[in-house]
Amino acid sequence: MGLDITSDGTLDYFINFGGNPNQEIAIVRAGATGNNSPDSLSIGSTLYSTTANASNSLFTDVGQIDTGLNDDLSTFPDVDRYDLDGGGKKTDLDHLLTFSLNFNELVTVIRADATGPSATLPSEYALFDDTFLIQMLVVTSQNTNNVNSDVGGVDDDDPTSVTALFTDPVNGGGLSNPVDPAGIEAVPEPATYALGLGLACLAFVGFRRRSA
Amino acid sequence: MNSPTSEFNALLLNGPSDPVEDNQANRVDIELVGNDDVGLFAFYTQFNDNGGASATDGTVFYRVRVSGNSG
Repeated sequence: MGLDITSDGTLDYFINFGGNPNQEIAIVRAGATGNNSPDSLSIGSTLYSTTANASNSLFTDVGQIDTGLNDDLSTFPDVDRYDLDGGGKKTDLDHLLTFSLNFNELVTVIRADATGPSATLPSEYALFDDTFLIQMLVVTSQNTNNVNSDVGGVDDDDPTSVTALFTDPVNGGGLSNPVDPAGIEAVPEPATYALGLGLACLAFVGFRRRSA
Repeated sequence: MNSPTSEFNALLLNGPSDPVEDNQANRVDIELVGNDDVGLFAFYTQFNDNGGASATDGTVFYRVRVSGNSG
């Protein structure tokens, strides 16, 4: 997972799952490259790691977790909900990788990077907690030296997408909207709605006056 | 860890959920797959905040859908 903590379109950290021969879950700093497009991804130093085991990870076929997905095929009947790519490169059924991370480990890393004279994040992130919104991206790789296998939300077969920014919804994409740790986008508060409605009314009045 | 995906939140990635058979992914276990039409996505998250007494504890979960289980 790539994490854009500051919502500037550039990844700040990765949360890695993998390794050979032993698998681990790790928080790593984004590398010195741009980290804002598929061709500019790189991994930096490891800031936290823990061994992957049965208590914090699971890799299994979709049917072991989600049952009944093909019970209603009234829409898109040709799509097998357990094999979205129809066999793909092999005949395997789709699989789900699930893994977890103690949120406090992420808090510790981010707060440390926002503290002191060598801080790499703005000072407000010294108070980072589960009320902060972050943007996320998912990318796969065979090794951490070349992070470019498949970027979620990006058509990697389109050559122009390789250099397009994650924030470019037309040619690129890949970066989520700002979400809380559960993956839920912020809902504007009522006061924001009221202000927006007020501005819309002003714009309409202005338009009417110019039209008169 | 094995909770149904319906209990997770899909992250929309400002593009299609994921086109299948990307050239760069030469193994099925690194080939992300999703299909927006049927509401099945490539990337989900969930968070257990341990009751909400603290804003810095809890467990965050990530779930990724891939094409298969081996190279």
